[in-house]
Parts: sequence; C-alpha cells; structure tokens
Amino acid sequence: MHEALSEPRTAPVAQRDVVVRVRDVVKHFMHGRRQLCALDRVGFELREGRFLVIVGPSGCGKTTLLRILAGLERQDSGEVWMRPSRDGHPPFAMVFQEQSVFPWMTVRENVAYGLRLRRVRGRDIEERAAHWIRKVGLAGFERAYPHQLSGGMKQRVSIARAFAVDPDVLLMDEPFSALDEQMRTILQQEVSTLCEEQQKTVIFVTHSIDEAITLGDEVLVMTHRPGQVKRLIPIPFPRPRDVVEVRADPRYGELYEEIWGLIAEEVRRGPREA
Amino acid sequence: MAEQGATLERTGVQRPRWLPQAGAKTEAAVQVLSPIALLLIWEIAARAGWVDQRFFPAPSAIVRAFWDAITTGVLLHHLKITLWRVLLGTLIGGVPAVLIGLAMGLWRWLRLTLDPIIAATYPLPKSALFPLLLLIFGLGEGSKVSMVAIGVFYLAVTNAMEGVLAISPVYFDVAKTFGARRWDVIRTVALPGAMPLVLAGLRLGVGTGLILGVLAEMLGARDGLGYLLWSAWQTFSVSSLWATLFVTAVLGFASVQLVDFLRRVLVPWQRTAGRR
Ligand SMILES: Nc1ncnc2c1ncn2[C@@H]1O[C@H](COP(=O)(O)OP(=O)(O)OP(=O)(O)O)[C@@H](O)[C@H]1O
Ligand SMILES: [Mg+2]
Repeated sequence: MHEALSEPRTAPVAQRDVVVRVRDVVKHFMHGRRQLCALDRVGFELREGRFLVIVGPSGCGKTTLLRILAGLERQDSGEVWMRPSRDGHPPFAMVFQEQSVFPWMTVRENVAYGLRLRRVRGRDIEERAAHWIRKVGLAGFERAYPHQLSGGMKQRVSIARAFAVDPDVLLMDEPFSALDEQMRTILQQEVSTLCEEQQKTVIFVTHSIDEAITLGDEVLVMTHRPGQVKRLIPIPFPRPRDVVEVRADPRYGELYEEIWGLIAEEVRRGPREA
Repeated sequence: MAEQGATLERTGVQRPRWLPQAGAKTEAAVQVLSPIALLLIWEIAARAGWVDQRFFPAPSAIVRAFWDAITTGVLLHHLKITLWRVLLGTLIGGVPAVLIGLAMGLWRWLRLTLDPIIAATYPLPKSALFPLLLLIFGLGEGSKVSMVAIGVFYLAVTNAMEGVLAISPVYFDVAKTFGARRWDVIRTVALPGAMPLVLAGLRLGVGTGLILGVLAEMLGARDGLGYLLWSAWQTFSVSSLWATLFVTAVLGFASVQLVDFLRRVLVPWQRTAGRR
C-alpha cells in the first residue's frame, strides 16, 4: 500500500511537469445514518502527456475520485491539485459515465457547448464541432436531437463534446463501455494518438482490463470499498502505440494476468465496511 | 451499462415491426371522423325522437341557431370579449407564475419561503374566490380577468418549479465542468430543461383559466360567452345554448392547440406522445 503511494511521488524529475496531483484523499458519504468510506487516502501524481487508467471493483470510488478532480465533489481531507490552464478556463473536460448529452440541444449544439461557453469565435466553433462530429462518426447527424440517437451514438456525442474544447486533462469515466467493438477500437486509437500528439494528460476509468493495458502508461488498481490504491502498474509499451498490435505483444498476457489477479482478489474479498 | 446501451441502440431508432404503421394521415383522419360520427348519430337520434328535443335539439337546429348568432354578430361579439379576458388573464397570471416557478426551482431559499404558501392556498377551489374578487374589482373587467389569472397562476407556477427540479443533476454537472457561470447554467440548462413542464403547466393553466373565466362571466358579467350561456338558459333558448357551448368548446380546443403549437416551437427536441 505505502510503496504504491510513495513510488511515483519520489521521482524527482517528475516534479517539474506534473499536471495532476492527488494526495491522501479521503471521502465519506452518508448512507442513511451510517457513514460510508468511499475513498481512503488515495494518492497519485501524473506528468504531462501521461495516460493513467483506473480499474477496480464496482463501487470502489472511481467515479467519486473523478468527480473530486472535476470539482463536483469535495474531499473530506487530502489534497487535489490540477495545473491551471493559461486562459483561465477549466483545464479539464469530463466524459461522464451516465447519459449526459443535453436532450434540448442538437448534436452540433452539444459538441459546441464548451466552445460557446469559452466565447470562441463563431467560425472556429463550427469548424471544431464539425471536426469532432466527423471523428466520432456522427457526420450527417449534426441536426439530430439526442432522442433520435442510439445509446452508443449519444456516448460519442459526449466524447466529442469533451474533446472539442481541447483540454489539457481529460477525465473519462468508462467512456467506451456503451460502444460496439469496432467503434470502441477506433476511439481507443483516437484517444491514444491524441494523448501522444498533443501531450494530453488522461485519467481514464474502465472495467476492461484489455482497455487498461491497451491505453495506459500506468494502470492504477483500486481496492474494494473503501477505495485505496492497491497497486500502480507501469505499462511498458512504447508510444506511439497501435491499440490492436499491442495485444499481440507477449507481455500483454502477463500484464493481463497480473491485473486480473489483483482485481479478482478484491472482488473475492468484497467491501470492507467500517 | 454496456447492455443497456446495446438494447437502446436496437430499439431507439426504429419501432418494432409488429406495431401497426399508423401514418400521420390515418391518425388525422381518425381525429376528424370520430366527432363527425357522433354528430351523425345525434342527428338521427333527435329526428327519430329517441332523445328529448327540448334538451337535445338536432345538430342541424343548433347549426341554424349558430348561423343566426354569427350573422347577427352576437356570438362573435361575446367570443371576442371572452377571448380577450382569457388572453389577458393568461398573460397576467402566467408570466409571473413561470418566472416565480423557475426561480423557486433554482433557489432553495425561495422555494422554502413560497412553497408552503402556495401549497396551503392551492386546494382552495379558485371559483370560491370570485365573490371576493367582485368585492375588490367590482363588476368590471378586473374581476373576470383576475379569475382567469388565478387559475393559470397556480398550475403554471408549480409546474415551472417542478420543471427545474426534474432536471437530472448530471446536466448541471456538465455545465459546471465546462466552466459555466451562474447565468450560463440558467440559460443553457435550467430554462430549456424546465421548458417541457413549463408548457405542460401553461396548457393545464389555460384550460382551467377558461373554465374559471366562463364561470365568472355567468355569475357576474353582462357580456362574454359565460353570460351568453346564462342568458340562453334564462330565456330557455336551447339551440342558442348549444351553439354557445359549441363555440366555448372550440375556444378551449383552440387555446390548447395554441399552447401545443408553442410547445412544438419552444421544445422541438421533445418526443411527443403521438410519436412514442
Ligand atoms: N452522492 C452519493 N451519496 C451517497 N453515496 C454515494 C454517492 N456517490 C457515491 N456514493 C457511494 O460511494 C461509493 C463509490 O461510488 P462510485 O460511484 O465512486 O463507484 P465506482 O467505482 O465509480 O463504481 P462503478 O464502477 O460501478 O461505476 C459507492 O458505494 C456509492 O454507493
Ligand atoms: Mg463509476
């Protein structure tokens, strides 16, 4: 437990271009009259351009952690820091786990939402929205309302909406779980390339071990409730990375087994309630 | 999550094949034909003497009375007056109601302050207020218009508030993470999100407002459709009574259609019951 926490923090070169720092974060929720510990002294540090994937049993606090990072929830104690953006806007964008596309806006209006709030020039808004709508394969649906889209299409709208604002940090909460295999692979490659080319820092929650290994520079395995850092596993595959080819690497199988073993252990153990 | 998404993908776009493909034309035809059929049966029943013509004159007789009332301009005169009262009352009651309701949905302290007052006065039959309104406003326009306004107000205010409260919190979260300021959140999330219920409230409100307006005209007015109905009863001119009833019904129908039209314009993103 403690090695996992201190390991990334002691790397001296890392200090300079750190973009996200989480230290000893504790979060409780009231569950009826009982207190429920969702996060227990969680900590990690992320340098610019790094891709962190978080895996762990359902209910271990992954979404809670992202919500704290996004400022939607306040931790009880501990420190959360994100490097501010140069223009004063939030330095991150979030893709939510649940359906979060505005039903009252068309696909184009949804994707342009963040840009509108940032007072981007009208022509640039149109250009960037169109670009991302194409990227997620929704060309031709610009004027459609969400109720005319399938679940997977809606999820792609929310992905495009987050990417369109060109954030330094992307917080993604199981963004691809509603997609079919092909679309998932395409968008995995897209996110991977984006992270490489534009030095995006990504925190990505998933239930898929395959996705974790394919995308991550590091995989953070969390314990069952209360969520702690169980282990931080570096993924040795170089970048740029082809999300299909890495699966053929012999080390892929070993990593899969290692992570699977860790998660299985936690699932077997179940939550340790106070 | 993955499973849910997959099933949505399958059912969301097209309707299951076993559902009859009722086209828009067929639906419209049914809506027109069913009242016509009713009128036909009624005409036959009246002429055959199955129903008492003193109370249920044949539709043809009503049409004749209707025609007379139209050509003499009596009906239109009273219709215009009622229309004006309902319109004015809807504006006077509806506009502040929507604004107050939205504000109550947005600000907790305002909701805590006003909700008990509204909840306590809501169950009172609004028609019971008319004598009081007569006392305050006298027999002039004020008493009728305020009666309509009160009817509209209650339904509009509660629905507007519920409209804001019914918005899923995730949409407010999205706005926040994109750096929306307070006014941005209101403009891009609260207002459009509440719009379906705001219009549902107005729809109900206009209906209630019309009922109360006509009732008020029966009790304390010298013009308007309510007055016309009442005087038709007093002079026992049954055909004219029916003709006025018909016009009142059309007015009710038309005002609801107007709100529905407004809804299609303001809430183009909503699946309507007809299409579901
Ligand atoms: N607003 C809340 N109020 C009360 N309890 C909450 C709240 N949000 C989360 N919790 C609790 O905190 C714990 C962690 O929830 P969280 O949503 O972070 O889990 P998760 O790791 O994202 O799970 P999943 O993988 O299923 O999405 C859960 O036990 C949940 O019941
Ligand atoms: Mg979650």
